[in-house]
Amino acid sequence: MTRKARNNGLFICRIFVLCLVCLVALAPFYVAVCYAFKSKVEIARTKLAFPTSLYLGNFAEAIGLSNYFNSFKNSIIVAACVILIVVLSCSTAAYIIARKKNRIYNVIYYIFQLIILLPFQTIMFPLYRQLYEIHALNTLWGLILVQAGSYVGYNVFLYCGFVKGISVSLEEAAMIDGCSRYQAFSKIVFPLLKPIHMTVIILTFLNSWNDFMMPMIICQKEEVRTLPLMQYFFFGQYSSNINLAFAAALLAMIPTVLVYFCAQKYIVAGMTAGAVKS
Amino acid sequence: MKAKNRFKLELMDFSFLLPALLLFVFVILIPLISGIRYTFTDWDGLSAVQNFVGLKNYKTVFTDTDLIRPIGNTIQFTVVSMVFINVIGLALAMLVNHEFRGINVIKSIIFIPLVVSLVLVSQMWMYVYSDFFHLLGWESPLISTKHAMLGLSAMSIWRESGLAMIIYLAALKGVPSDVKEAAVMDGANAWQRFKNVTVPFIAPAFTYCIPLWMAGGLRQFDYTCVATGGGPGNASESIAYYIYKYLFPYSKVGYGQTVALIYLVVCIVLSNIVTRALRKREIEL
Repeated sequence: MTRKARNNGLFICRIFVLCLVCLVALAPFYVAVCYAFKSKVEIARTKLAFPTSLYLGNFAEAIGLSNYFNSFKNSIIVAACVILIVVLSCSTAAYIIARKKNRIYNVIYYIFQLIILLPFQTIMFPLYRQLYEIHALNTLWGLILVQAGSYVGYNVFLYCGFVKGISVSLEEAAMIDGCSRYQAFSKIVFPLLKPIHMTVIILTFLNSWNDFMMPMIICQKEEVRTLPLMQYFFFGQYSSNINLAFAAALLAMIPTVLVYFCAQKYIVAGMTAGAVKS
Repeated sequence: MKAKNRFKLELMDFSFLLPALLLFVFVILIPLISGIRYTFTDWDGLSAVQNFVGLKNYKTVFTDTDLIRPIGNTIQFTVVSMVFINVIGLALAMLVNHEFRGINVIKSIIFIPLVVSLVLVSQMWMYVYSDFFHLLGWESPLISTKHAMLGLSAMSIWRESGLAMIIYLAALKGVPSDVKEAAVMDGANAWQRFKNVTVPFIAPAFTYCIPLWMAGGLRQFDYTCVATGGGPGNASESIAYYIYKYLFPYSKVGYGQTVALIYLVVCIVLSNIVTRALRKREIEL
């Protein structure tokens, strides 16, 4: 009996602490939401007090800014292309690395893994020069190429772990029946990779959408800025209009939050893959 | 004829690897190698002249007193964020490692900050520090030369503890329940059970998490760039930001690239040492 009472007490403590943690996790969002729904005058007067009325003017005004819509479009184009390139190049590379138990392929695999350790600062300037020489600075395709290249390491690793778990017998049978490796891959293996495709797509989307450092050096010009970069300049430029800046930031966050709630399972799977393996 | 066929097959296999390999070569390998050349010059990144200066840049790096503060800042940020993220993450994982209604909602909420961009995290926290702290009568850490770096560490702890929680939780689920029960039967108290049963079983998670956040801390750039711009003075400047400053706004590519290269070596060596030490401990436990 006493033991049960003690357990109940512990349970209440546990819930209390967790609720407190949730509150801390959500508190900074309150600042953003609160300011986004207040007019400039109201912020000056009431600061962080709960908004008494929902003022939607900030959102309308943010969308109306010419560069906002453009940045949104840029972010979508970049994320979509990076996802496409990453899925195609990494799934094929991981497939062949997992299937060929050959030294060359193994060495290449380990070199790919080193990308994960590489700080971007070390290649930042030479990369900038290289892009300048091929006229890829301030273009979306330059950014797409760089992002895709820097995500190769982790995604090959994710795909490799998955391919190793797929039995080879199906492909072997198909290849004996006269399928080429291309056909065996595209018709049999690629569809089987669906769960890991989802993980890769979602992680790549989040990384690309939230990336700040690469656009910062590659896409400085206004017409090619992606959302995080636009936001960065926006806060500098409109520091007296934080209502507008936060409204724009919240709108930019909608896709990531949607993805988060629809595909949390895949995000967790992708981010813990390294830990589970070792 | 047969040899030719075999060669064709090998070529076909290699073509699977080619797209990823080309991306890697273009984005990582070529810049990495061509960057080494810049470290022996005094190039400003713009003009056509690149004077060869030998090892002068390296000498400058090792005698530069301007570097001390960014190094100190980076170490402080790395240690504080790494320790707190892991401790909080593990504590949270133990708290949520119980099945009851609503637990999934709680886990989702704790994990949310991770999907917010670093830019928005910095901007939200800037106003938390200036307006919310003002309400409580506290000073914003970002305007103090002493606490600016701690202010930035708090942002990263807030954003990433949820991920640590998820990783440790996955590890905790792997602790066999019969061992836990046996420990209870033997009369081990909570701390003994944690130290002698839980920790050895979740050691692989430590081996993963500690180097992960060490590497993350050593590379910290976004918070400094967005929230403080390195200030006040250079109180919140990280190494990554220092390198950026020399490569772009200051146009001292020779020097900046030298710092960047040494920084790369230090990052890799540190990661290796720590990972190895943790692996060794994993076996001992």
